[in-house]
Amino acid sequence: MLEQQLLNGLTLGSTYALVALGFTLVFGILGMINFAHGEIFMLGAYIAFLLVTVGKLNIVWAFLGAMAGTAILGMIIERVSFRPLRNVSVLAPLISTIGLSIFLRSLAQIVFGAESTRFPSGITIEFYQIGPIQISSLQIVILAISFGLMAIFQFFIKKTKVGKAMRATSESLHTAGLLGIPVDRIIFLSFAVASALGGVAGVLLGLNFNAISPLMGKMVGLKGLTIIILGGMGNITGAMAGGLFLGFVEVLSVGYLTSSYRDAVAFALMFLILLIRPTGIFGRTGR
Amino acid sequence: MKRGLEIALGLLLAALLISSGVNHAGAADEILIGNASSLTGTAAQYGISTYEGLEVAMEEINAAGGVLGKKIRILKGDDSGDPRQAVNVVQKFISKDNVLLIIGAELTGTTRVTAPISNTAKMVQFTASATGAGLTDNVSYVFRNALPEAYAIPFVVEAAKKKFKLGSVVVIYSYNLDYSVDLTKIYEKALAAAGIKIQDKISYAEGDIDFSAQVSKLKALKPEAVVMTGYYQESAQMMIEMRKQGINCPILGSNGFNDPKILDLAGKAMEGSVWASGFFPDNPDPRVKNFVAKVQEKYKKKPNQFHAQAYDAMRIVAEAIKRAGVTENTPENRTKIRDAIYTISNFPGVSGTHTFKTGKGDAEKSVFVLTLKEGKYALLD
Repeated sequence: MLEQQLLNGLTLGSTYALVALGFTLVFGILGMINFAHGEIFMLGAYIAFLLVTVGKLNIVWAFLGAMAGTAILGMIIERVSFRPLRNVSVLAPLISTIGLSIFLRSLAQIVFGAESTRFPSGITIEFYQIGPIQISSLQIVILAISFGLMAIFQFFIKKTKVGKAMRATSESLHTAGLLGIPVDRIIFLSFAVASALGGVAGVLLGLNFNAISPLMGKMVGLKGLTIIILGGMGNITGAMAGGLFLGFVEVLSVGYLTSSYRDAVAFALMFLILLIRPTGIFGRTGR
Repeated sequence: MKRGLEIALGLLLAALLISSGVNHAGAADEILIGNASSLTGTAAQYGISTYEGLEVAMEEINAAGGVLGKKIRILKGDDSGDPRQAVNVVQKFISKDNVLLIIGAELTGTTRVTAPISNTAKMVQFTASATGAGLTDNVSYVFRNALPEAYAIPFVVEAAKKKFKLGSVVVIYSYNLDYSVDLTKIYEKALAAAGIKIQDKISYAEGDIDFSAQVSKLKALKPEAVVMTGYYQESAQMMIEMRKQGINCPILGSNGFNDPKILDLAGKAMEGSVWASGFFPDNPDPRVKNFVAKVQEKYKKKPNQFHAQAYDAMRIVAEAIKRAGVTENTPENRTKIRDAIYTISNFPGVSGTHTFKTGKGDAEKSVFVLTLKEGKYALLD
């Protein structure tokens, strides 16, 4: 059973990692938390759902559509909830994104109904038995997409010009501006990238569990926040490692203890890690 | 220009005040019934279904001339499924809106806190769906026509034992949902009475979406059958995950399995489940057929048990008002209406036949044991 549980943890954790990447990107650059990120995740799933059911498109287009849709949504959120408040105080954008998150969640409840909806993927699922592990074609797709995206994202942030500009902006908004980096545009773009990652994660989760609901973003948003604290605020490797870590911890504590201990175990471990490394596992010390 | 705007705004405000005043007066030629239910929030699907069921019954009754020559009007009160808000809604119904009686609330939690308020005010409160234990104890003005789980579950256990020759089961429950914890206790009692062992209990938390870990654990236990006591959304996802991981044993369920939405969500994964209900939409009874057609025409959806029980609740209270012969809102008349409910017996509804006994708030009802067979709700044979 352990091997199967580890696979479960890997699948869950890779989705968490994608959500956390978006969180950490925005935090790294602005030093602010986007509380509406969980709702972007949820809307990504619904955009894909609409493209598949109403648009009659196949799942590949639904993925691309969800990425594009959530990227645009992210840019709108930046314009509406962050840019006007950037120089006011740290709390103002925090509160405005909490408000936005409640707004988006309620809107989704009104438009799509309060209940869960079945997510028709159109993919026929096949199962493969590898030793003690049963893996489905769906799980392979999910793992491939999430790890593929993480690799692409790493390359993007480390090697490309825009990625470098993003890292420079996260070092210091002011200095980056002085050095001729179009800071506003970079922030705008970061929101688009962060949201697209969140959107994809939403679609993956919908595919995996065959159901989506307007409330699915709330829990995942909170977990994303936990992960980036654990991994080190603003740290990209930390977000990925933290996501996988949380996935494993959750699945194993359900598998070997009971669900009632799951969050207790996850948060107790987080507490311990923060005691030893207050900046998170990969966080820079002395910042 | 500015002055004109001010005048316009003033007029608008005045119009709003006047119209809201009229709204609450309650014309003398109508019977005002308050409906406290969650029209928004996490349990909104139940509250909305309840309201729709009431509306269908109201239209039917009004089209046939109303009750004692008066038309029924429902006053909506949204409690968001929140007990604190439900208290406010019911207090407003009693002290401000002057309703003759209250239908609701639709959840156990919201009903538990509002029942004593209605009782003190000598106001009949009739819940169509709250199934929690003891809700009508010590409150003589509170009634329900829901099928309490404690009443229905032993039927399910007995039928499943006979059909599948069960020796043991694994129970899956939501550890932080009152409904599921209560229901688990009811199941434990019924299983013990039937001599079926509980092999293990596996829990999850409300709002969970990933059940892979629970199901892998379940698979290692090789269960004969599984008992699920959660709400339908989580149960459906649990079923999908179970079938995905190759567990094909029967599933013993509860009230929530009656909602056609669980079938929409779970699809084939629900095949072979067993549960109890007073209502099932494919029932050939002409009364049920007529009701299903009406809901489908008006709301473009298949009715669930919340629709059905609310529809019956409205017809029962209308019958009680008719038998009491009073519509004027006084404490004496409201007591007469309560006493009239006690006289109702073998009342045919779409969710079973209802019989009330003096001093008892719970209706005695007929029970069907259902299963899912080739994608359709059917009687377990």
